[in-house]
Amino acid sequence: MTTESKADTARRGRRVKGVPGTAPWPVIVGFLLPALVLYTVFVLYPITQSIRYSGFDWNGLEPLTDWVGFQNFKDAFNDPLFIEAVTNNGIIIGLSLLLQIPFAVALAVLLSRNLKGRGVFRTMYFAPFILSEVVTGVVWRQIYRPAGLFDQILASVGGESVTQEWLADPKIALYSLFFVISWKYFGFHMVLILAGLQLIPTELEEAAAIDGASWWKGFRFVTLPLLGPTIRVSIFLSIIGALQLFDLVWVTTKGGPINSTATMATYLVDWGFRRGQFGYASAVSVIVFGLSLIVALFYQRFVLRRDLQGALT
Amino acid sequence: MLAILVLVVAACGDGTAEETTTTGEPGATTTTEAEATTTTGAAAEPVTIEWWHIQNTDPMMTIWADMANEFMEANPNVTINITVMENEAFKAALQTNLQAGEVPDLFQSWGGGGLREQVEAGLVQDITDLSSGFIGNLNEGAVGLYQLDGVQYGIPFNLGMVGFWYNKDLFAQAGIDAPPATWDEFLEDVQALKDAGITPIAVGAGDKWPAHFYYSYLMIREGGEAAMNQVASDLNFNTPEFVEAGNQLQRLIDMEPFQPGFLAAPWDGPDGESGAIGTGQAAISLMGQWGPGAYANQSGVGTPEDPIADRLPAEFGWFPFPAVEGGAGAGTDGFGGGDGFAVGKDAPPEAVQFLEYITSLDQAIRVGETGTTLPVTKGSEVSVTDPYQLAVLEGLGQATFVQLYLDQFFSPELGAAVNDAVATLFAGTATPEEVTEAITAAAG
Repeated sequence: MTTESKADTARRGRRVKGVPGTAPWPVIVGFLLPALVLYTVFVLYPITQSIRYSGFDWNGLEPLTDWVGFQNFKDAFNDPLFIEAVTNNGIIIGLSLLLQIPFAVALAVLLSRNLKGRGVFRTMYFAPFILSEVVTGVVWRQIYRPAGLFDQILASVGGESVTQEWLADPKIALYSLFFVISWKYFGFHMVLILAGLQLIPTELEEAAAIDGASWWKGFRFVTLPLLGPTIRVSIFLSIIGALQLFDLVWVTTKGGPINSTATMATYLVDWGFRRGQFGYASAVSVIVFGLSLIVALFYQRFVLRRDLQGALT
Repeated sequence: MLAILVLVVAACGDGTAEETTTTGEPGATTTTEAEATTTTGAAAEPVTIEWWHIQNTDPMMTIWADMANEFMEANPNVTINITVMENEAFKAALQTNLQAGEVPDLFQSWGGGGLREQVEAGLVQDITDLSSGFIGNLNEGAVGLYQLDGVQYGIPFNLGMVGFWYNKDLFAQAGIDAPPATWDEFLEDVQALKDAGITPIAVGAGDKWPAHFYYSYLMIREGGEAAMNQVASDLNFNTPEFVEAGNQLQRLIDMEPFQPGFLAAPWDGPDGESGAIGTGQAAISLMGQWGPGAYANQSGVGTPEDPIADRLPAEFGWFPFPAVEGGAGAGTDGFGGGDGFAVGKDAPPEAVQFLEYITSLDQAIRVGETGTTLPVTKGSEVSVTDPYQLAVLEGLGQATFVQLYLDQFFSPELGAAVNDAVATLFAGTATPEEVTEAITAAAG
């Protein structure tokens, strides 16, 4: 026993000194500290503060005295406008998965072939992603305005009858916005998937072709499964992006007209900064945080598990 | 998302500006201890005044900057830091600063419920004594907007009233020879404009407050001063008068008189109310005294130095909100408000002296001569030569009662509820009864 433990300490002592990959505690702490401090100040502290504020009826100015418990949360779930905002987030997620991602996959597959000028196309489709959300919002607001560019183009090809009040009609404003979101982000997903496609050895597709598989069968049973991890990450980013959707909506419609494009994020900013109800807005932010966390954890646990083997969760 | 809200709040807490210790003049460090609230002597102690205003377009933006420079020349110990912001951006930025306790020394205020919240949180300063020397030179009605329970918290610099601005050319094309005196006549004129193929009205319902002007004015016409005072105390909008106001507004909305896309249109901008009026695409706009300046800026004609009348698409006229038959309110009751500056809790006495300077008769005349606004200093009326501002001034002079903008009058929360509820009426998704119920519920 004693000899063994002596040997242990000896080994440990040696490890501390010489073995690469380990370092004494002060060094570890020293290197982790900056990141930890930043994380604490900008993530952990605000989150705890938000949770604290969420239990108060607070206008942001007076001292925190009016403790209301879970009333803010009850109010939020009883507010049809908040439910509408959550639904809108859901619609954006659903449409993204149904339309945006498949479209990005199709384009990526097309542009991974030996197409003339495919570099030009790739750059062109990726370009909108580089624009800031605010610039995108301002530009599209002008494009969508009544008798704006969009309507003029429609009219010039004989589509006068389908011109709409794209952002002013509560029934279609959300879908107009979804189009802008897709326009901005499909290029990003396309590039992700292109990268995924390049990782697939061509031999596999060639083997399938030699075995007599049609193009569709080759795509369906060889390319698509191998593209799985990339697509799952794409979907994950798309869902998280949709849950947090704010800038673009705020710049183009501010959640209007009459809340038809409100998202959870615009709803909480409206209650916080326009109405000065910071306690209630904090409660909403806690709900949004919880919702995003649950979605993210579940997705990682059940969908990304195979792709992330070795990672946490 | 969670992070965003609080991050902003937290980040401002350790903000940079240390108000009173910024360097202005060296060599005055001997009196650091003294809080020296006395008005005499102690001229050398350097002070900094943080001044936030929202006059973000010329000519007023330059005039304010010039006045600050002049004041600093006359008082070498004073440094004035100006922060100019657009209206909506200002409201958001102020909110975060107030929460962090970093109160600007002078900041734009409309009085009313917003100021009351700031007073209750101890963020603004009682300037009753500091301002007693010059406050008598200002219009009492405007001064009263910054007074709560007899205590003065701010100084007004302009006052105006909302009314109908109209394009005389378009009225002539529709065969209308005189502005309407009653609501029914107004609706007839709207129909005449429609029949002539002209968009009768532009409204920035996307910003909501331009839409709330219509509803508020109809509330005042239906209920009169008595009903407005009543609702101020009991916050009950579920009254027959206010439902009737909604019904009257419904009559207008049902005529579909507004510009395309009005539900998404802001007040100001090429795709907004000011853009539609400034380019002659619509005939009527219900707006305050700042209307013509904004229309002119959107017309694309001339530069801000040119007279407003030269830059508008046609000759414009002004008429007060018409009388409503059967309503308790008089046709001369007004609806409006003004701009002023509230004084932050840590502001040095020099901040109030600066307010005295910019509201002095000479400076007020300088402001009035721009034709963009109506100063409140007594005697400065002579400087108002712009025909459009004169029209508003006359309307104000005849006003038997002036109700402050409802979204400023009530707390920010209730103000937002009023605006949101009125927007649903414009969108046709709520009935007048539902509007009054929604507002009353938000007040409860």
